[in-house]
Amino acid sequence: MQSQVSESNEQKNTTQHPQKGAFKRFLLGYALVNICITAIILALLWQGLEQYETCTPERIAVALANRLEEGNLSDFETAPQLQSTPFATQQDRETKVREAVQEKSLYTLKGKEEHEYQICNDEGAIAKISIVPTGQKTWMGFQKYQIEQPEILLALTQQYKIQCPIGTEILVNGETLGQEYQSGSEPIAGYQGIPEQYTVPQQITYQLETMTEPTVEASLEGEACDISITEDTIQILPKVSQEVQQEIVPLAEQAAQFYARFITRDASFGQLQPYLLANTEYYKSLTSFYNPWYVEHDSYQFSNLVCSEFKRYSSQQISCEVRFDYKLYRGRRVHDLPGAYTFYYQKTEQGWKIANMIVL
Amino acid sequence: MNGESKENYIKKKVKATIRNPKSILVKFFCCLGITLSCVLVLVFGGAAIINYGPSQGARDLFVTSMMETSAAKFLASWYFSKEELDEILKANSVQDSGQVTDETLVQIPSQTETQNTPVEPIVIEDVSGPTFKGKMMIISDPSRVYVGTPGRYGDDVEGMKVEEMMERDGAIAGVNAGGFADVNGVGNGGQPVGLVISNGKLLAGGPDTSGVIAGFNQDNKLIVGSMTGQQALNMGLRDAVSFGPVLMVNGERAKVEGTGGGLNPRTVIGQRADGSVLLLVIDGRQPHSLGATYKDLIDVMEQYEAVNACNMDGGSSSVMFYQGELLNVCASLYGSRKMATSWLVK
Repeated sequence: MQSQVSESNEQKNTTQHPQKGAFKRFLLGYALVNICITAIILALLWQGLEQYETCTPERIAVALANRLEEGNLSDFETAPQLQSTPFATQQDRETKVREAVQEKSLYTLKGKEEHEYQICNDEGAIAKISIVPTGQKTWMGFQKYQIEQPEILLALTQQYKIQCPIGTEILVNGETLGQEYQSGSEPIAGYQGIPEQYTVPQQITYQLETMTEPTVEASLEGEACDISITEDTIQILPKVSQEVQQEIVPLAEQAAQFYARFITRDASFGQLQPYLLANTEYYKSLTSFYNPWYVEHDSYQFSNLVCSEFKRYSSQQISCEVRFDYKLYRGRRVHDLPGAYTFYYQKTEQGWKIANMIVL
Repeated sequence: MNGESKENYIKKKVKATIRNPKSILVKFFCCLGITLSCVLVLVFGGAAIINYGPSQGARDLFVTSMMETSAAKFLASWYFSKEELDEILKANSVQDSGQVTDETLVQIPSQTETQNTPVEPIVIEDVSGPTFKGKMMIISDPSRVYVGTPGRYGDDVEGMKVEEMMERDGAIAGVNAGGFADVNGVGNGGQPVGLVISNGKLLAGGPDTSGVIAGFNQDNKLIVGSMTGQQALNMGLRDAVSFGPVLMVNGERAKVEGTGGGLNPRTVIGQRADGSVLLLVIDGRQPHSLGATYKDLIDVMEQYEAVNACNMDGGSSSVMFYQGELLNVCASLYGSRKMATSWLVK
């Protein structure tokens, strides 16, 4: 009996243990398969997100904006605005860009052109790029893109125009300004229309690009020149000696008064004529000037005559400015007629003569 | 099995199985447990990869999409602190320019002009984008568009479904409008959020209630912008609701940062320069349409030449009815919801 029971139990165990063992193996295999599937799906998700981030134009633009925000300009290495020039190195340009984006959050905007994207801050667009499809796809089917035509839209440099007489030696930020920067020459406007025996002075124009206002030194025939900077123009002119100034000042003041009196019928052309260079356009216009229409008045008075702003265009040609107060009295009424002229003088055998005048 | 026929073996197995049903259940639940565990790992792992993985764009879309819902905000809260969420939302939002509609930019043709050049009174077109599909309804006569309401509001009041308001008023078309108290996505539409002006009367909110408002003035011009209730009444708004953001004002697109919101069902109201009213409903949370971001909405409204446009309540509220028929696919499994306001077309 006992052996029968034990035999029966043994049979039962033989039947059940293989089943339990088989199920455990099945369960293990089932779990492994599920884990593998889960891991594969998660890996594919990771890959998909990675490719989405690198293969979507909007995301590429955002990533570029983030890099730019951190001061990384590697995407803009080929931008024309960052290319080095003698007076504005690539390093200086990049520094200026980094300063502009520092501590400012950047955002992207779709540009008007098909593949164009702009990188902007609160003040507007600071850069733009084209994100174009390469025609290739990733293994997940995402279209690949590449960045083209990077441009910095910030004003990194300033353009300056330097004007000076022929033969002037110029140093910009300590470097000699070569002929390659010359953009042309032009006559001094104030001397156009002078008689042929006199040479119209020419000035050379240079164009250069610098990061900031340049430090300029200039000399002509060994003598230092005066330098004046107004906005984007640097005017270089040789100095006018004190002797010449002392020659011209009384002539200019007298000419200015005679001219003003000529206009108001208080002087004749004959009184003004000795101060003028004959046969210039200016001279001809004064000879045909009609002034009888000017109102009658009792008297006049000049005051505060100042002659200044001397400029030398050549050894024979100098200009100056004359300013004064001019009052006309008509009964109890007083007419204020302040005057300001620039006289362009030409040296002749008879002394300094006015070739042209511009009312300021 | 040696020495046994296959048939006998199978019979033995079946008998053993029938003799022990408990073991079947255990095995079943073991398999189910493994499957469910893997599914949970997949779901939470997937969400973790989206939020902490290689794509900031996907993270932003996920966060903004979840935070725009009433019932699923917690999904984003699991992964990010409040400060982190605020930062993400701020970096992916629509900025309020502060502008309010300039009425002079909208010129509604007179009746004579309309008679001389007749146009279809209501036109419905399909719209689509990379992640969405929807419907655009164009109503040529803006005087036909007004705010539908349940009549009154309160803790003891339920809202009405858009189709119910339409049936009550005999309206030919309708879409959902402003927001309502909707904690955990189970609001009943009885308590609107912000202002409700109907027929020139302030039904909800007060003179000092401020926010983004979209409404029609007495000249049937759509006015959008941030203002108080008093300002809205001073402007002579006959029908208006609160929601936002403003998507277009005076012909200019709103400035969008990042993704400009998440992918969700949307409803938008806009108006063209000729006075035609644009009602846009976008499907979302569906296999055929994930939803639209605010940037997508601005693109669509700009395509339809809207001068002014404002976002309305979205999500499971977004519905468009025409002649009694639901034209879009509602995101809610229970269909159209009871809500506080709707835009109806006479």
